[in-house]
This record gives sequence, structure tokens and C-alpha cells, in this order.
Amino acid sequence: MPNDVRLMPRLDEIGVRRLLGSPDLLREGTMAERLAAAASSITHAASGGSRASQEDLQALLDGLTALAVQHGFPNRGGANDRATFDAACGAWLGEGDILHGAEAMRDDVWACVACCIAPGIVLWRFEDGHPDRFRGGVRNTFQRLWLRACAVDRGEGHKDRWGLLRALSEDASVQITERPGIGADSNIARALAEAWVVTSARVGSNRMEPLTRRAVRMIRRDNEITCFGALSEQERSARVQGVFERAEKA
Amino acid sequence: MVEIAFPYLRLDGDAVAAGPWLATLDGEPCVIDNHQIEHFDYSASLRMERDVSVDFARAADEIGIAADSLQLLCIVTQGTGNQRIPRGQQIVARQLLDAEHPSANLEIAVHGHDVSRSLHLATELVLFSAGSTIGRLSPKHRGARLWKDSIRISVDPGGMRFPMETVSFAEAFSEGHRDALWFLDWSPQHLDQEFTSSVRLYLNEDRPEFVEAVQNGGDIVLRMLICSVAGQMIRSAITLDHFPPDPAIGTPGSTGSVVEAWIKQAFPGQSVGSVRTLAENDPARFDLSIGSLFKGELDAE
Repeated sequence: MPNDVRLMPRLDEIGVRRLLGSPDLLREGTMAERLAAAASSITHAASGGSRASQEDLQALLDGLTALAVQHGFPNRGGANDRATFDAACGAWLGEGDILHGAEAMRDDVWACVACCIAPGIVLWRFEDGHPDRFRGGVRNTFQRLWLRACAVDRGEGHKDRWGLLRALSEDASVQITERPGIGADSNIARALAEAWVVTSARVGSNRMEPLTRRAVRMIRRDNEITCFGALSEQERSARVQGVFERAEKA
Repeated sequence: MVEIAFPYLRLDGDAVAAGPWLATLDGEPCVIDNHQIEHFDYSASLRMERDVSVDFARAADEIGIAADSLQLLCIVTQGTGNQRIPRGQQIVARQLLDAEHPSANLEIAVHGHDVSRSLHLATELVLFSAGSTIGRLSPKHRGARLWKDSIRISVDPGGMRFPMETVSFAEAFSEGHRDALWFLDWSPQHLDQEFTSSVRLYLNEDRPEFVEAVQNGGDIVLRMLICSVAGQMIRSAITLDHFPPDPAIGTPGSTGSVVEAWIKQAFPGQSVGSVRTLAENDPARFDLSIGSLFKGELDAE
């Protein structure tokens, strides 16, 4: 991998603002037009790989578009379609060979994906077009899916590698992957997600929202004094499941 | 910073001897200067090594566990991502220590393509087994955190400073403002987000004399500017219902935590409510207190 790192375009905040101020360009423009319009706000890492080519960026756009089309893009798609798009897109980004590793941890890279490469999909997925869905960060349309995939990936050899992406509700995904101490550590995040699935099957998904919030809060506190990563997978699962049971009774 | 009240005894440090991290970059010895490594990119190969040893008799005494039954796990967690809050982390080394094997040689390989902006290495001693003879306040559960030391190394030198850059306001703001000197880009609604990625100070490059004054004018000009910035953020934050952040779930390095730290430094011993009252009733004294911030702490790019 070190020799084929693609250096992705990075879009700074001024560039984000400039493109958000041009809704026609976001909706109707081409990727090339948007990249040109934001050129003074786009940078790349100075070294360490080779710049992503136009073909690489087009392949990224084509892949995202194909998935979105399967779920109703550009003119159809209800809440369920969008949720299944999220799971499928997360898995695709998680396995992706264009955008990964250190480049995928950068907010400005995802800002460029959302603003320059695939803003049409952002506007389809989030009709209100909130700026946070374009900016880099945990609420970015695509970055959040990549973060979710990293957090709950069961591993390449697993027969249902991305099952947790499909199983978690939107609220659970947010609770687990958008909390820095939790989402960054895939051991904890995965244990939480597995425990969520078990608990949801037992108590019913309609009860899970407040219960998950309580459990995540308890795990975050517990994680300050207990190193979950130092436990075996079995111990960790039992500990996290126990937290859900305590949260259920609280 | 969030203060943790641990419900059990911990190692106070005298029982632990931890050597410095020694680094090799692409096969050559490398100096970690001021928490930075230069010439690091995605193709870099970094090896980090350190020794940690535990005086088990002392450790056992400190936490009230018999030395011959105490087992500790020494682990290294590698994190990367934003400047203060790792966005991805994993345990990259672990060694079991006991009275007969009290030392660990920790060696890790860090691949450049896994590191974004900064590398966090946390070395920890956690309880593996306590045996049956333990005191009332002794740690009992496997994984209990007993000792920690951490280092954050920037591989993106600009990121260590106040996030600041120059842009043309004539181009950036279609609605005007071409003569403004600076613009602070942040949102009081996003206090939970990482400071270094959610706050950015833009200097107007259409006013080169101002940019030059900030970059070359020394500590005074920069302090005046950053105190104005801090004043704006503190004034906004103290009016919000969700400020200060809940210490149980607050995140070190978040914008809310940074603003709270400024308030504690500028208004020692005062509650947010009393600072708000001061801002409303005596704005001159409020600004005077903010003006005391950042002495000797700033560095312009």
C-alpha cells in the first residue's frame, strides 16, 4: 500500500463556503466545473504518494452514483431507501481502494468529496442540504459512512462482514460512531454494536433510543477507568452487554 | 481537561520506570523535536521503541495487592487523526508483567500511510490479575487503568499552532467585507467538535500590511489578535445553555473544552454565571481579564 497511496484533493473551509454559495453549481455543474471553481482552495499532500487522477475521482463518483441509483437517486427514494443506501455505501467505502487510510481520516478530503465530486448525492440523501453534510467531519454525508464502516467492521474474513452496518438504526450509528472515545476504537464500537443488536432483538427497537444513549454514556464513563481494549473479546462483550442490561433497568 | 476520580488505588509513578521513546525513521535515528517529526509522509516507515519496568514490591504496596499474585498488562495504544482527539486508535503492543518478569521492551512499527496529521502513543499499565489477597481500595477488575503516559507527535507541523490561514476576502466573500482584517470561522453550536478542525482564523491577504504585522510583528500583535478571537468565543459560549460541557462526557481538545480552559485561566475561581454577569455589567474589566491570556504562548506561521 505505501507505494500506491492516492493523494486526494483537500478542500478548505473557504472553498466549502464558496461552493455552498453556488447552489446551481452543486446541483447542475460537473465535477470538473466544481473543482475548477474551487481551485484556489484545493491542495494535496506534498509527498508520500501520487495525486489521484481525474480517472480515480471519476471512478469514485461513478461508484457512489451507481449505489445511489440502486436506492432511488436522483428522483426517488424514501427513508428506507436512504437507510439501505447508507449501509451499502458504508460497506463500499470501507472496502474502497481509492480513498482509505490516513487520507480518509482528513476532514478536508471528505469536504472535497461532498462538495466537488458528488454533491448531487448529498442533496438527494439530505434534502435540506445542511452545510454540515458537505463540510468535513462526523456529519459529512460520506465521511460518516466511512467512519461507521471502520467502527463496526467485523473483519475481511467474516461471512457477514458488514452486517452491523445494516442492523444498526440511524440513532444507534450516531451514538456509537460520533462519540470520539467510542467510535475511534473499533473494539469498543463493535462490542457496543453487537450488544445493541442483541438487546434490540430482546426489548424491541422502539425502546432502544433512550436505552442506547444511557448505555453509551455509561460506557464512556467506564472507559475512562477500564481499558476495554485490554480485555479479551469475550470479556469485552460480556462487560458491554452488562452495561446494556444496567441501562435497561435504569 | 477532564479530571477522573478513580474508585481504586493507582500507581503513583515511583513504582514505574519508563524510558523515552526512541525513534527510527526509514532506518535512520530520528529526533522528535518539540513533539514533531519532520520529513514524514505516507511513504515513511517509523519504528518506535521504549523500555518500561515496574518495581513490583513497591507497586504491590501502593495498590494493596500481594506482589507475587499481581499481574499487569503493559499496552501501547496508537492513535491518529485530528490533533488532540484520535479518530482511529488500536492497541499495537502488549506484554504481561509480573514479579518475575517486571520489564517490557515495547517496539512498534508505524506505517506512514496509517498516520494522518498526528501520531498518539499511550503507554499504559492495566490490571491483568489481582489474586485473592487484596485491600478494600485495591483495583479488582481486569483492565483497570493503573498508570498512563502518552505522547502526541505532530507530522503536520502547521497544525500545532492556532489554526490560521490567509485568503483573499474579495474572493471569499461575495457579499463584500473586502476591507475586513480577519474573520473567525466557527460555530457556537459545534462546541463538541475538535478545536483545531472546527475553528479557523482567516487573515485577509488583500491587506498584506496586516498579514505581515501578524506574521512578523512579534508576540504583541499576535496576542492582540488572538485575545480578540478568544473574547468573541468566550462571549458567545457563556450565553449558551450547553456550555460549559458536561465533564462526564466532555472531550479534551473540543472547542468547548478549549473555551472553558481560557475562561478558567482568565477568570480563575469564577463560575460561568459570574463571568457572564461581568461581561454584561463591566465589559471593560471583562476584556481586561481576557487580555491577560496567551502571554508567551503564541507562535505565528
